[in-house]
Amino acid sequence: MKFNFFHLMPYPDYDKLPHEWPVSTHGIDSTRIQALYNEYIDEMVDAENYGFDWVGCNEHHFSPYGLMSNPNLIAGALARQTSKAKIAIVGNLLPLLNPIRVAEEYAMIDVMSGGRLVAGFLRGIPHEYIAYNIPPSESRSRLREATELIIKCWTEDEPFGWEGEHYQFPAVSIWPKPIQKPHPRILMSASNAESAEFVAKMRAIMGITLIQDLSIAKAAVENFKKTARSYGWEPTPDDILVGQQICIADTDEEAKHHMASAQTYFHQTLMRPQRSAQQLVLGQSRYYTEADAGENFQKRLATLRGRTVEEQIEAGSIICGSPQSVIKQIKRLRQELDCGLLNLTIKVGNMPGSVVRRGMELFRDRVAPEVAGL
Amino acid sequence: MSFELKTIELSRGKLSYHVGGTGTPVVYLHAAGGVMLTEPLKALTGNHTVYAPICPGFDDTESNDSLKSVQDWVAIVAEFAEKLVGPRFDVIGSSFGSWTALWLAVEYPTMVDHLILGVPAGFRFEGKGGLPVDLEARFKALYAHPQKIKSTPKSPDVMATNGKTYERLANNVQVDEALSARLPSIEAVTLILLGTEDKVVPAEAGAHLKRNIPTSQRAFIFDAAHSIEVDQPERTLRLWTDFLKRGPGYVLNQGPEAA
Repeated sequence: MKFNFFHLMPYPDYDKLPHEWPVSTHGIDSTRIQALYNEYIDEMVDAENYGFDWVGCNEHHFSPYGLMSNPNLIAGALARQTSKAKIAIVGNLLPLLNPIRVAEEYAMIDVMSGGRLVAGFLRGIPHEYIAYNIPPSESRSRLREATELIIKCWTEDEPFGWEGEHYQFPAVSIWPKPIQKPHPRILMSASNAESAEFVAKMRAIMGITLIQDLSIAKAAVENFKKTARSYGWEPTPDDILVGQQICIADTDEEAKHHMASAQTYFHQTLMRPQRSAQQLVLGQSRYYTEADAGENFQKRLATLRGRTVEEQIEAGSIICGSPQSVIKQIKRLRQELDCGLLNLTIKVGNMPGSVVRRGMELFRDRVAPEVAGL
Repeated sequence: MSFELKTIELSRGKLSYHVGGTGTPVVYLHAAGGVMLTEPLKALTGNHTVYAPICPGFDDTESNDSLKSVQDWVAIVAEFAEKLVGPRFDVIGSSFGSWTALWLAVEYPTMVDHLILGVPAGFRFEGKGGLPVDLEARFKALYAHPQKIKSTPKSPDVMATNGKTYERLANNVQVDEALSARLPSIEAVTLILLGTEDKVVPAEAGAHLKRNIPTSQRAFIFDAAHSIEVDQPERTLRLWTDFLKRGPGYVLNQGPEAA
């Protein structure tokens, strides 16, 4: 198995309960955020020496939930300071962005890192569409068109134009092209039938996160495999990535205590302001189609929010405990979901840096040796 | 504007052709399936006189056994143009018609002004591409959005004869090396159009033409299979009209000034 040290880069010091999104920055000291960037990037750089095969982050806007409005800037730093880990951007929110710019920046990261980019192409979560003033109803069609355009940017040596539904570019030839040929692996979300169809067509890594029930996740994986077969290929564990929050401590009790506290901040402070904005988007746009109405991000989050740490562990939603417990939970995920890639968020909410670091040490010394060969 | 079907007597026999519209002349060269009066072609007649000659043997016209190659067909097109169209005109090709258009630009460089090569045939490197034999697979290769077909289907007999006539002219050539060698001599400003879902003409063909034709652009039409005019008529027409009007300058976004 391979493991991604994934960082949401949360702001951990918000001492009020934010009531609206976008969230005000009144009273926020940007020099504190400078220190956080340093702390977080140091953790990510060190991760490649702590048993992690990938390091990565993603994109969010306008709130303390994540401090990476452009994860490619973080990746630029990682490209220089790491030497062996894959740099996984999971990912750029394609429908919100200029796809040519994404193709260029991703190609730069791949070249700067010597061919270590894993390129996430994601749709994002509903309220992000307000941030960049993009119609949520166009999210899927923009994602599809942008994905195909970016692949062309990476693979066509001769200049070309693009005449599409959302994008028209008459003359394109990005410099440089990625080192990885034909192009870096791409990673996309495939938690329902509609998205699985496109992910299978693009032969991308399937990503699934916020698992509320292993049987539902297993069905999504099986559906993805079946769809991929219809496109003439057979996914292996290296094509399936599962995202989980994780806390590893010296004892189960200690890990559960830290996770419970961090999740309280995560759900009550970081996630709170987004809910009303998401409801606005969901109520007044066709962000979700009928196909994914029963298995959407918000429903999964709400389910997880109502569960105890123990219930989440039992459901396969999080990984939490002593090294021995964590090894068992990882083996279970591997067996149940046939996944070869785990996207692990150690910095959950306001999890103290010391707990994150101890978890990294335990992962390196006691967990990775037992699970890397799975 | 509608098209009329007419006939002209040329030195090698009769030639049927569709003609419609008024304005600067455009010669449209048809694909192996014969002439299809698609929506963008009809719309083009708003600003152009569009001539669509029918290669003898296609679309239920009388066969001409003296035609044995693409170059033979090009000689007829050139005579047709000289007699009817004028000394200089724009050319739009579709698939086999783009192959024809390339030979026209090579053999008669003074005639061709703007050259638009839709899904150009004649460059199947390493045998890639081509039409599937199986009819259902062939239909799928031609159309990503078959529900957009508006023209009346041709009869199986006509389609079969079209296919045989094409095979006789194409001579089973996978890559037209003779034409390839002469691409750098093309003087016409050229636009190469490809469908992102086209498996009949591989993207390599478009790249090869772009690399070798001195003043050329190429564009991918998103979500179109081989029949770009049917699958994405608005996008195809936008590119045609912009390129015919502005040539290589069509890459510049003129914004509100364009009006």
